[in-house]
Amino acid sequence: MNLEDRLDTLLDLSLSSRTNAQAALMARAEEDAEMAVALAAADHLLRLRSATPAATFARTLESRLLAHAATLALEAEESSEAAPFAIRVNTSLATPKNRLHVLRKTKLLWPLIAAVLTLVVGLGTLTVAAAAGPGSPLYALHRWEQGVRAQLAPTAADRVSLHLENARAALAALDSAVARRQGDAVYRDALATLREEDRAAASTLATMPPGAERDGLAAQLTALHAQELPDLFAALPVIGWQDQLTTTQALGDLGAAIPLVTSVTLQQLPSNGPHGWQVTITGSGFAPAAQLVVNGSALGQVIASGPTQLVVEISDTERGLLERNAGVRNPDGTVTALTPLRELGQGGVPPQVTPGQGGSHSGNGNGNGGTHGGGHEPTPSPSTPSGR
Amino acid sequence: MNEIRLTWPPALPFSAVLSRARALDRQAISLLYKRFLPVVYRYALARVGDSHTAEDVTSDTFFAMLEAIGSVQANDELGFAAWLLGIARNKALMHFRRARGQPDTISEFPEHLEPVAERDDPLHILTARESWGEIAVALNRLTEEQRNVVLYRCVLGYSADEVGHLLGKQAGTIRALQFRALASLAQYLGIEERGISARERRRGQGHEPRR
Repeated sequence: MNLEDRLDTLLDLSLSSRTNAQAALMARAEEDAEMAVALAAADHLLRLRSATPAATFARTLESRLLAHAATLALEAEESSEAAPFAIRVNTSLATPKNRLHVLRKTKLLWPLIAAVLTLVVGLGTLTVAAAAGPGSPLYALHRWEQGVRAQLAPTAADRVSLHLENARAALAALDSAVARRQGDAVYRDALATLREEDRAAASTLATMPPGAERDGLAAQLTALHAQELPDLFAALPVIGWQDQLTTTQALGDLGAAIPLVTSVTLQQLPSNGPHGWQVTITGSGFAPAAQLVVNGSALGQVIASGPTQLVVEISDTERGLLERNAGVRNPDGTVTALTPLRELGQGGVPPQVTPGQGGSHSGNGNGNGGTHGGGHEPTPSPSTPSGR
Repeated sequence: MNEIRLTWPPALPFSAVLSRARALDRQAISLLYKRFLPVVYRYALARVGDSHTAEDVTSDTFFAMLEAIGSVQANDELGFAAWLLGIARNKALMHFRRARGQPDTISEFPEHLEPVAERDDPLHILTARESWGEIAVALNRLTEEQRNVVLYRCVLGYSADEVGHLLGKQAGTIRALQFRALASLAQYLGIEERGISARERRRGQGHEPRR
């Protein structure tokens, strides 16, 4: 065996087991110093085999990659759907000249043109609607078409299949919206469709008799849910507050652990320090490091937290911000809104409830940062939040 | 090592997964990504020498893979690996061009990316394994052919037969290239002293030097 082959054999040993390789290397090193040098260099490279990408990087890249794949798939789908439309319009308008001549003579031309135009416009609208994606003005018509198709499906299994197909398309549109940072209408339409189709598939599935067909469709639905979970979690950091709330509810529907607020108590602290109010949020599903947030930004200082309670101290200025888009956010991005609020004065005395406001709403913000006396002092809610 | 290793589950043919990935099926793309992420990352790390830049090169490689997957000609795993590593190689070269601001050939690792700590510095010793800068510098001094052989063989773990398949060469040629590449690498890494006496002994016996 020549030197190159011997080196290759020793490298195979190194690649299969480091321990064996070291022993082999030592043995060979005494026989041939030149090979020992080459193996020592190889050993430097072999250490690179232990290098692995960071888990966060790997997960993030996969999410971005799959979202991009969804975008590309959607674009390919849209371009393939656009072609038949053009053909359909062209064929509808084609009429031989000799037939027009006959129609002129029989005075049926104008009513027929009107009918054909109505048909073409109607067909065109329906065709365009069929290709309309979430966020489009024609998307409602598209959804109506999907509903009609599902209702006309001959069997329950066909209906489930259609709902699954619609849900997959909605998930792809949702991923695409996230990839393009299209929060708002596109994301909202896609998420609403996804949830509706998921529910419709599940309820129709429940009406099917037990058997292989039902099991197969149930497996498809489970697989789709498994695909939805990471996609929805990945969407949370790039969407607005209202969409985060809806997405969290969708995650809850899928069985994910999500936070839920049952009551919020605001208590004015006796001292007039930087933190003038204590917010006690009671509920469930609060993860360690859960935060009080307003419009997605953390607020105040958390002084105690547990799975069912979060206690945060906030300043008078921050108190005013609680009136708008306030909630609790877990580290995984899931959120819940802060309603209802109950405000207590110093010493835990409930305020007088203003008629028409109800007992559960805190319309009594203290955004002006003024001092307070011993008891609760209802103050008007600020028109615009100050600070932050 | 005459047989080609099967790294893909036999129940799921690679060609079927690749076919679905060409149609942008997310599950298939996810499978390909998970299989080739360590391969691409280690290749990138060996070329650029630090983990952050390696992540950038890895990221660029996979996005380029997605854009071009519809046109990939390969049908087996090795063919696909060769195609993907070709993309990674181009992305690494683009990184070097950007880093050096020179559009021409890249033969050396950019100086500013070399480790700056002194050799005796405990911080250097602690972080040497993570920065991999020294190895990347040495690798970048090899010829393209030599570098590919030792990277595919030692870092990515392909057999000599598989590397031959990847690079379109005979396994014997690969072994010869590998020997020369590792000897050069040892020199660049400053670990060749132990081999000098052996080479001189060979020369004294009428053997040709190997480099």
